[in-house]
Amino acid sequence: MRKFIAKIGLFFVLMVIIDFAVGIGMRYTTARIAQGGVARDNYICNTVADDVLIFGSSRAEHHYNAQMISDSLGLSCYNCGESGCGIILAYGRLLMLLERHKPKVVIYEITPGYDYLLGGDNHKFLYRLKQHYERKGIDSIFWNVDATERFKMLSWMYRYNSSFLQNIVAAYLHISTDTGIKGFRPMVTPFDSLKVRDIQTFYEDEDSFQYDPLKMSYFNRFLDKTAAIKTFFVASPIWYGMNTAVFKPIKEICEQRNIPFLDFSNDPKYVHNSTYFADGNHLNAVGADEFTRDLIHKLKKLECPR
Amino acid sequence: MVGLKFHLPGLNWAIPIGISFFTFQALGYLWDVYYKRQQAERDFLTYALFVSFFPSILSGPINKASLIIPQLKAIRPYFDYKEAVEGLKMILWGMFMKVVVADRLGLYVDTVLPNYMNYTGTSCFVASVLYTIQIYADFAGYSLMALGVGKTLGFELTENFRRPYFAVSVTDFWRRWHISLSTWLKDYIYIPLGGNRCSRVKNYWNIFVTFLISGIWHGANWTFIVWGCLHGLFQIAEKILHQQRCNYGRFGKAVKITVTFMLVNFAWVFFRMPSLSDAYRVIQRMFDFSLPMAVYIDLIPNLPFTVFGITLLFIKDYRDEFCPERLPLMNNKRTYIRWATYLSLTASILLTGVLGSDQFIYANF
Repeated sequence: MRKFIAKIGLFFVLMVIIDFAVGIGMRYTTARIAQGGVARDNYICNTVADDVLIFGSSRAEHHYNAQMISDSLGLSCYNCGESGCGIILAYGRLLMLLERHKPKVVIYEITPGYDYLLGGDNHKFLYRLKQHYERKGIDSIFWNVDATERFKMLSWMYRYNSSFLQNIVAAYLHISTDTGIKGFRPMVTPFDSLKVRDIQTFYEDEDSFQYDPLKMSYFNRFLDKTAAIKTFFVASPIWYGMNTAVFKPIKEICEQRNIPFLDFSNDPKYVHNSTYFADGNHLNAVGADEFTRDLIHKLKKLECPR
Repeated sequence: MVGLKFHLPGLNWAIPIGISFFTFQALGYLWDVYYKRQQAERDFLTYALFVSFFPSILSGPINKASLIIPQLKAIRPYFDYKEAVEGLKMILWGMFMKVVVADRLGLYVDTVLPNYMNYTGTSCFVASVLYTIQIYADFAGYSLMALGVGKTLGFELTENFRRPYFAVSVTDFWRRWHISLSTWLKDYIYIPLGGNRCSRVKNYWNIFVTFLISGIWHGANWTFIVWGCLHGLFQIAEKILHQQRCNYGRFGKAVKITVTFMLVNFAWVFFRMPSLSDAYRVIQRMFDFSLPMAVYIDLIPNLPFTVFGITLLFIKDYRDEFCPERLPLMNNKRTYIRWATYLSLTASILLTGVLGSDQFIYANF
């Protein structure tokens, strides 16, 4: 028994040493990355100092031409949208950002599935936050998503779980995705009809929507943090159109907090207009520019700071 | 078939009874005592520990009273070093199978199959093959961890998997897949029905009924029943065609393994999809050659880790099946090779494992 316990102890000591060494190596590697998603993430969390910031999912990332907004409003702009991510990541990023910079305008692209509807595993929203775990306020996001993350995050290797290979390739082989133009990553692919879903899946009745209390709580926390910043919620165009019943809780929050909600989701100019879309959910580069123009027009009407 | 809804309200009564690992273990004991194959246990605590032995209560294996009760009663050494080390090795490999292989594959499978209408037939086929591997890695991984926990505590539990995808027939598959359930079904359903000591037609009927019950055990849904019936029918066909074993040499064996894998894979589609109409549509899509042959590939970061996990699992199973003496890693004579294996497997789990909140697939049954 004593031998067994001693060997288990030795195994843990060796594992802790390896874990720490890999963690240090990965931290160094990650800091070297100059292009792609990690570099963009580092820039958003550590450097960005623009006046207008855009948050949201891939629909934010691909739909908002930051340069056009910047040129039209006379304010610098950066697109902080992230594919597959919603309010939980956005809150974490905002928290890190506010430590050193207060933007004048925040635009939040609403993606119900990622921002407040129940469903799916919230762990996926932590992916980009793992490397910032030690930053103020970030650790509690992990604990709120899953109490066991408190223990998992003790491992340095776990912080680079699933991302280490990508980071090594980006840092040393310099192969990575485009960082984008001020964070905006337009989709230049033609319309892919294979990626258009069965329309019926989008038209559910009002009662069938279930809300995720965790996401809702982060939604409110996000708004608490942006209370002194001019904030806009936007639902950008979607090829299918949208059942507006899904926006009910957001509209209520917007009314309570006096936040403009700009809904382009059923704009006839875009619905089923394949020339503006790359797939059922995402505008292509042409559509993104057109939508950004329409958005700027509305923002100007709403007395957006300039 | 398309457009019809398939509900099985008639079977919902079975849910509260809990057709589960727990119930099957207790039922087996009851029948063993009734048929005088096992003495009735007079000590309630021993019986209670047998039916609720914690490593196997969630997802098996379904242990026989004749295996567990004598171990509970026997005076055993306080601690067995060798057994404990073996147990920890099983837990380590089981965890690798679960979090590195099964849960990683689940990311692809759970993207494509529930939204099959958005993906090409080729993608649906790839997802079905990956699901076939996922369910093996998930369930065999769990069973290995359960066996490992038991072994560390000094208990031998029933072996549950023996490299099922190297089976040369569906009959052989069931000698290797969920062994404790197939043994239970054989002992308490198939043999009492008459087994193979009866007319040929009656024997076929017995096989069919046994696998129909296997399907019902998995859940009150027509999909599981069709899955069970398919396995029954495959085995009847093999029996009629005398294809239960392989006498065709190396190449023939490889062909038979591939054919068996594809048949099992086909049946898993019914097991995975929520309804018969969905399963039918997925299969229809797989055979719709008018769709482009493109495969959805989730390149970053899943593909390299998927390939890594499947390759390692294949190498390990291939070695265990065909050349168990070659390339020993966890059982190497050299300490540094053994330790390097333990450490690198643990590091792989931390770096490439999907350590979210995924449940074991078989925890649903």
